Amino acid sequence: MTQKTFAELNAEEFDALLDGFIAREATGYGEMPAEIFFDLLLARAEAQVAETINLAVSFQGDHLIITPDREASDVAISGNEILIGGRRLVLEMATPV
Amino acid sequence: MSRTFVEIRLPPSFRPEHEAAVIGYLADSLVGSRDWARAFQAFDILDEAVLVTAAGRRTFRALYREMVEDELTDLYLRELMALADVDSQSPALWARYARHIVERVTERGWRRPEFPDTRFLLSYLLYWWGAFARGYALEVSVFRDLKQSGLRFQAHNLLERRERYSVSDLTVQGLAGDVKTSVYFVQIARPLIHDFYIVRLWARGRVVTLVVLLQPPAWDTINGDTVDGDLDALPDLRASPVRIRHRGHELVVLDYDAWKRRILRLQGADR
Repeated sequence: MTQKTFAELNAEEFDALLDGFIAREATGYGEMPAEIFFDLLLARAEAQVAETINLAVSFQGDHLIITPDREASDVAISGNEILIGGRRLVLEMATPV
Repeated sequence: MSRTFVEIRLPPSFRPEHEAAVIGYLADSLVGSRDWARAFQAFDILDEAVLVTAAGRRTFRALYREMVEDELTDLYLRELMALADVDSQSPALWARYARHIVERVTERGWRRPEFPDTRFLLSYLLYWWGAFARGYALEVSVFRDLKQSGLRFQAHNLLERRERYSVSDLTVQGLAGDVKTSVYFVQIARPLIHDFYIVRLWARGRVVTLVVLLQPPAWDTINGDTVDGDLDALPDLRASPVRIRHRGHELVVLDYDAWKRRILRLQGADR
């Protein structure tokens, strides 16, 4: 890999880096070698599953209710909302019930 | 060009090796799993990097959503769908939009040589634009090919936003599948919940190769024969499907055309 940092690249060098990237990608697909792909895919997939929580979904009238099978300190569930990792997931029916 | 106040705040977990990986990605100089792993990690961390201007603070992730996803994706997809040959024409279409993104960032005064950290924002936007746009192009290409092959399948409609973000991209024989480019697939790696994946990567010394990954239970429904192998067996996977056990996972990998032939045989038997 290049030894220069962004701060060490002058404007012309950075422009050339960007232009080179776009030009290269404009003529190809930028795909990864198969052996690296599988190794990293499975490593990342494995690393991101620390725990499984099963969610039961039910309705009370028109309200969708989510019920987890266990508590987790970093996951908050209320009604049809799930707060996880700084994101709020809101479950809605795609079409009216 | 605007000369307003601008500052980039990088997350504390973003380290010099991550910067080297970002530059390495742009320069096409990533070599081996370690380099690639750092690049994926770097772009993950940059999600939470912040652009501070007089107008306020926004994360890189929010800026991507605002400047690219919300403004450009529908336009790009309509142009993509109109291409006669997606495989050969879509890289140039991607590049045209990429240059447009560069222009937009420059116009807003967020590409500032005197503030080198602004270069992270451009790198981030172009990386994700590449990941999404090329992924959509691959989807369109695969859907067209499957249709032309006479294979029966249901695909989500990319032009409908709700469908675009559906959990799976297509369904074949009751099996849920996803279509992914290799870089995007690894970047968003999550539990392998789909029955099969269609992925494009570099193998057998070819620039473009389409491969299908099946989870073993799904593979069993196709009643396929496999040979056991490891990652070293991948260059020869055209010969026969390979069952791979790696890092606690078990996958079957076979050539895309071979997968199509098996599905077509199965669907012919169903008729």
